[in-house]
Amino acid sequence: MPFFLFDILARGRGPFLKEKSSATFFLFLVLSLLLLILPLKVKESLSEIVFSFAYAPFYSVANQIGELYDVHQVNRVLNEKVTRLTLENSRLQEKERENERLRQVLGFKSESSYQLIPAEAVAAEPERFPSLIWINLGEKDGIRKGMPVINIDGLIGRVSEVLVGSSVVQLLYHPNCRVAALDTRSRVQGIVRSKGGVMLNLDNVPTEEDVKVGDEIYTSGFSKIFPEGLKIGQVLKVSPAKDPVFKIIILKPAVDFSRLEELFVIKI
Amino acid sequence: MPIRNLNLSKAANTLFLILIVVLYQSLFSGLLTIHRISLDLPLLILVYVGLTRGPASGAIFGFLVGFLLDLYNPSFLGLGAFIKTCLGYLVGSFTDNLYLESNISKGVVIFLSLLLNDFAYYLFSSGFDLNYTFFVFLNYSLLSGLYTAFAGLAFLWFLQIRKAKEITT
Repeated sequence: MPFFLFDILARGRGPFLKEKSSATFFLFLVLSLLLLILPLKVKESLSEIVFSFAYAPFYSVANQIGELYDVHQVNRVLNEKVTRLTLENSRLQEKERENERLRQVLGFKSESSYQLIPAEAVAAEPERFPSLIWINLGEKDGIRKGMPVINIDGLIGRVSEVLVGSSVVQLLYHPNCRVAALDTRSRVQGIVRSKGGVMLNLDNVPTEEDVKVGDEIYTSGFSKIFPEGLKIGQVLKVSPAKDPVFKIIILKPAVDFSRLEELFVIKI
Repeated sequence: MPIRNLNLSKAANTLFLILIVVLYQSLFSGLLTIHRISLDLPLLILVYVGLTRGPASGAIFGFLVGFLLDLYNPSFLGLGAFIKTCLGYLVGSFTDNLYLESNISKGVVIFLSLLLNDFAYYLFSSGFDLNYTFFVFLNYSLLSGLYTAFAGLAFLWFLQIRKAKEITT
């Protein structure tokens, strides 16, 4: 191509229209040739200097953008990992809690002198303070009406209805539930029943009897429904009697009825 | 005064185009390379400058662009500048002799310019080794020329559509 151009230029014809353009062309052509004939070391130094001005800032920016992008990618991957591990961690913690609970349940079962049938609460009455729950065992599992139901904390209630594969348990909160009980400290006896709300009442305790706040109340075994020695609750309040005959005693149930999971039916 | 303003605007425009070339070479050339077939944007801009501004601007721009590209290979510093100076001048000079109303003919000019540029560069840089020159030319330059010509055509069509819209509004 350059020879072709030289030929045209030498003959002074062809498409070259303006003198000024030709002069400019020759000037830059000579500059190019001068660059070409420079010693290699000079070429390298010159290239290095100009490169550092012309390209280096852009390459630096490109590198930084690249690094930023890499960091962003790594951050995204790590965030995903953290989320996944957090979920896994909470799942494992739940498993650990379940494991601990089941260990307690197993220990309780082996210590208990009753014949216990493990059960699970599957549904509850849709009330604020449910008085009935459904368990996953029924007639085919040997469940009979009237059997007491407990968990590791204490007495829950009794089986009120039995179906083939499930049963209804009447909780201590149920208005029809009455439990013969005694104060383990003073051996004072009474009847535990619910009068609504989350607390229970120990009724039929004469005013002169010795019942104090903090006393533990267990089943007495005098009723044929509940065997003796099942924890019902703790005395929370003993009110001065308005009634001249009986005390008003409020109990805090031993069982947290809002968290009924692993239960046992006592085979009697 | 108006002439000086015109020159200043031309210089600013040239600097802007040079900046595009530098930006492209340092940031985007790798992104637009497909299977070692690269888009020769500097040459595309050189042809555009030659066609729109004439031989002198073509030669100056060719020198500057060639020099900037030569920085990547200091052993041949000046070779790219020499070839592109000639090419810019040549394209600018032939403008009046070419029928350039149709985009196809502009695409052909871009394609031939790239072939001419590559052929000359590889011929000189290989020490007139024709085998090497033809190997590179056939394997890369032809496809790169087509790629660049189509990119140029797409750009021209885009400009025309934009211009047509401006006229209608």
